[in-house]
Amino acid sequence: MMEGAAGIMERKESKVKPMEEAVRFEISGKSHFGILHLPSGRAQYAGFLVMVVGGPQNRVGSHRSFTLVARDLASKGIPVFRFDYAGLGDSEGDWRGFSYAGPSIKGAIDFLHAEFPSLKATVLWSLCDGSAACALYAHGDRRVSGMILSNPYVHSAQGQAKAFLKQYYLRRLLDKTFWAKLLSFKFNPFGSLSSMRSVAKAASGGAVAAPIAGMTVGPGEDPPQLPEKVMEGLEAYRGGLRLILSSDDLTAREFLDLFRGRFGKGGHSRGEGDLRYVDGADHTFTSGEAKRRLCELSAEAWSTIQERGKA
Amino acid sequence: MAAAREEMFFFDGGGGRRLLGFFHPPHDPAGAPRDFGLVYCHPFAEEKNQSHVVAVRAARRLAAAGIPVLRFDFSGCGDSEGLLEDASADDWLEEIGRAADVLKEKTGRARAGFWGLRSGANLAALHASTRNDAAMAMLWQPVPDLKSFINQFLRQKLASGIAAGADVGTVKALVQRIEAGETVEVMGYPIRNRLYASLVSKSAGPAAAEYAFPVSVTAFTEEPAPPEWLGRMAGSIRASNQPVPLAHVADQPFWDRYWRWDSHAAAESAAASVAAMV
Repeated sequence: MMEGAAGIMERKESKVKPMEEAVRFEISGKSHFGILHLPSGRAQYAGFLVMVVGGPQNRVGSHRSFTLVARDLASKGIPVFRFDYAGLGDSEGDWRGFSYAGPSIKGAIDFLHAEFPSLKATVLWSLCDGSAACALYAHGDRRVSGMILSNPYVHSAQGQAKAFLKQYYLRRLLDKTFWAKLLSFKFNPFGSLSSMRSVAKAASGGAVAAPIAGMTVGPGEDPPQLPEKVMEGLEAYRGGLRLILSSDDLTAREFLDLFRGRFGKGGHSRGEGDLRYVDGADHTFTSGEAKRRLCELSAEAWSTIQERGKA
Repeated sequence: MAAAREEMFFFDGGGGRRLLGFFHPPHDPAGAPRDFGLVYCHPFAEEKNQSHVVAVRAARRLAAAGIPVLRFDFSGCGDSEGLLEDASADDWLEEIGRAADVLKEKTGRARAGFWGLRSGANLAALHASTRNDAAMAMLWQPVPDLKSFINQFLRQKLASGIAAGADVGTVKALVQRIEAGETVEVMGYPIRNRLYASLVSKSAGPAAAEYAFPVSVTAFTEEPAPPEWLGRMAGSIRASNQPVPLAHVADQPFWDRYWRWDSHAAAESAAASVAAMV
């Protein structure tokens, strides 16, 4: 794990500090809250990046990741809007699961267009199940000119099990020093070792794997045919797309397997060209270095999408 | 009985730090309005993220009972200005005072009470103990002391390092690096000496101070009883000659795991604790 000398904010460079505004907006009579990052204050922007939170959690994100990435992008001149879904963070209402996040996403875009009538290009940015929510939503809203999606959640017991076996057990089992250290600390991040048998079973299409400690699994049931619906959503979407995948993330691996299975052979609107990788990054881009790379790739994707929109 | 709207805004937290605040205005209570509101002090690092929805629920429950609440993010945390690298617990103590001023201004009420979760409870108690005008202190699962707390936090880096197959040494080695001026990242949180030293200097727990107002302690555990050490802490706190109630919410902890937002029990206990103290 690399140590960052400073946070991802470049403190030594003199950058104009963008204005931040706390906002309240309504969706179906419920109050929602968010933060506007405004590089040029209350100007009339042509494009805006909307952070749809993943997790599911609040607009700040694990280890403050969404706040820090938003601030970095805004310091590069990109206007950003981060908000809380219904029932999460500070927003009112009940959280019904990310597959029902469509109205929240629509509401956020409606709010932005009302505040900034000059707006022509809205780019959705997200992580994990928020990425899946965006994929389910965007093809139905022409205002979404682009999407920058990290580690999309396309969970199925079978897909998870296959990815888990590939990523973790096969590497770890062969490493004696790993086991020695783990046992000396009496620490087991993988829950019961009997989960390995049930994981193998699930990978071959057998019984559903037992919950595995530390895995990102959302609350309640995953919607049926989620992986299929996400892939359909990505294929149907006509705007600019960038998919950012962490090397050290089971969710990303599950997504990659599915994506390549569907789009790998060409002849589709989507393909390898949409993908970027962050080496050494975990699911939520925990390390400072991973966040830095995520910011760089996000800014690059934003520019590409803006250029595409002009063509 | 429509309440005024909730508000989110930035306010001056002192030292040029702009902090994010979220105000829950009181609903009209059945009886006479109280003369105080509550300032909520959030827990450290990922505990803040994980406990957020339960804290919001509880704040809304308190507001419904006629108690206004101001939640805010400490500098370097959440949506407040600043980086964690530059933060210090002494700044945070000052910020609690600023939040109390903002709360009084918004509500026109003369007093502020202090409510916190985990290390936030310790900070709330520390700040409150410097005042004689506090309405109360409601401490949710306070930690034994901030020095042992931050060292325990560093230990998490060792555990996650092992899982990643890295050789990460000892807590002592991490502390040496921090004290030598390095930034040490723990679970995505960059720790520098300014913050580390300011927490380590607070090696006494909440029972070390005396309080001129009521104090309550709440434990959250599915065990049949709260941990003994917490019971001893509550029993040792001297609060204006009143016994310190130790409430027990028989529910899972909600700050150390994701997706614990259905803790209505926690929200109800907030309202009950406050009602019992005034």
